[in-house]
Amino acid sequence: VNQQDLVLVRDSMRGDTEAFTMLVRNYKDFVYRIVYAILQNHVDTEDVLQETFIKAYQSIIGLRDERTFPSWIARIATRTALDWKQRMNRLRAVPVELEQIVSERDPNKGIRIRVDLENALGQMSTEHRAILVLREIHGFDYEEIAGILKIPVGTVRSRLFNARVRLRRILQGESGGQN
Amino acid sequence: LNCDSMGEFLSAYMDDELNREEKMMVESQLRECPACEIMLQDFQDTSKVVYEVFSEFRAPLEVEKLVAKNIFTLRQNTQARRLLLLYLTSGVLGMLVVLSLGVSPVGHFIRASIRLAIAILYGSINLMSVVGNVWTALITVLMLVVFSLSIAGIIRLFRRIQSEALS
Repeated sequence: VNQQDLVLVRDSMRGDTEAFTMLVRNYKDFVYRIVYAILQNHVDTEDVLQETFIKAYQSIIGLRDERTFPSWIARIATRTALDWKQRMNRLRAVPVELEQIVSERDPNKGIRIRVDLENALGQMSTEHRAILVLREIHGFDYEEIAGILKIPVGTVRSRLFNARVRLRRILQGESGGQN
Repeated sequence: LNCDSMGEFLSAYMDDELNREEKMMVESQLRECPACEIMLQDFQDTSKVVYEVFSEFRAPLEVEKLVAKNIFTLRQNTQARRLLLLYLTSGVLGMLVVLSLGVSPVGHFIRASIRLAIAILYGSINLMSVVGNVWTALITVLMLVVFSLSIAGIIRLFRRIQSEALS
């Protein structure tokens, strides 16, 4: 966390709404990537993104150490996205993803890699996607991930390995994937 | 060690999450086993792709505005709830005070005091019509003198007690 964000976190803890809005601006991409990795749907991600920040605003006063803000907000985002996913799974039988429809028409290689990865992630479990995004994108260490997902450090290590193996296999088409 | 049992160590090695002995064991294995080296390279490549693809994702521009708007509505609702709670609590407390005054000894005393005050007022008005203005004025002055002397006496008494207490 940089010095400017630390000041914003401190001010937000004192109830400064303007400081919190600036924190939202600085962390919105960070939270967006976590939520999107779990939900795989941009529309739902935007809703959960807002829900995450509202929850954060309501509970930031209880944050013990302002330096832990990134892992704290990551934990809220992960829990909110997982709860949302559970709720939506009960409501929607088969989610139709816009990205998958677009991918079949788009000849651009960069977009194809992105879509391949998104489709591959879509074939993985929510737990595997969540742990991958926390490690690969945000670089949290195992202890931080254990705190965010509320699992033992040993489980982080084995789950991350399994997630990597699964993703590699799907991308290489070893499990009868789309590639 | 075979390659299958090395996978978890390689994954943790890539994340720099191994202790010294484990790290040395993995490095020795990597020197001897090309398959393990390929597996590590695969992990690194996949990790790079995930990072690159996800780094492109951006949240919508207006998110902070929407969040600020939601927070504003949330605060308004909270304030409205607090006001409602305040009004309800005040109403309940007021009713409790009235009820307690109705049944407690303090309530009896207040009611008696109010009745006494009304009787004094009523008596004063009647006195004027019975004895005339001059006598009413004389009685009022006499009462004021007695009242002033009583107050002065009480003050003197207090001062004496105070000086005795200090000495």
